[in-house]
Amino acid sequence: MHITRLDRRTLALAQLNPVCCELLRKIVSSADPGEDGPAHARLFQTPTAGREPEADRDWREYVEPDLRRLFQDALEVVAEDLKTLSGEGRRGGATLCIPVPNLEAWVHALNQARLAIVAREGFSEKEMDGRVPLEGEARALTLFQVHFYGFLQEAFLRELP
Amino acid sequence: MPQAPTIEQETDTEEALDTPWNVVVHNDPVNLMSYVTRVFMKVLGFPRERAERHMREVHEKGRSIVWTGGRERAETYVQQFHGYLLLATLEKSE
Repeated sequence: MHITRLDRRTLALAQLNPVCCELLRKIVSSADPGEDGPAHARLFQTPTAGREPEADRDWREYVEPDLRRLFQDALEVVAEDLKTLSGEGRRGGATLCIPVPNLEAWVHALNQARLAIVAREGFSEKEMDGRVPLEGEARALTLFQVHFYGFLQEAFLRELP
Repeated sequence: MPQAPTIEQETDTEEALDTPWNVVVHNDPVNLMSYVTRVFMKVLGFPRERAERHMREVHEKGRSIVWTGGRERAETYVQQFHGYLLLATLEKSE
């Protein structure tokens, strides 16, 4: 995979193999926090962490809907950009062109996906650092997904002003 | 007919509003250091050096008080941090 600036307004992810393409397509679904559970709890925090139950309740009622819309807006930008993924099955791999103004949304969407996945799967810090072995190939692949999104997030952050 | 609040209650309310509040950012091993630094710069207007100092404090000590002031503004900052998915809470300043 190569990440290159095509011009001032376009960043290209080129030579994408099928695994990378699949992981890119999973960003939006992976970022879904659901209505409850550990991913929802991580993405929708409360400001006093239980010290002021009334304030936390108000937060859930009045602030959480705004946050939900904010998170959804970023995911919609990513979903729209992914429609331009082209060249799958081609010998040189697929290419995805991302407008530079959309990179901010990509950074947020990738972060959201990483946080939601880690919360849902219950990855420990030791597992994420590779200090303990992972149980099972599926779990290892999911952690690879988290790290792949982290790699993209770092690359996009470097492109932001 | 509802009673007007007593002077004592009004004083309590004034004191609560005057009490400084801390905006605290907590460590999360998933958030990238570069991302946290950038968020500090964007939300609080920190220069890079100060943003990195607070980021390191979050990473090494588990938390960092990034702003202190009135409750209302503290809540605004916490909401912005939540929008960037940083772990953030507000607490009364000692």
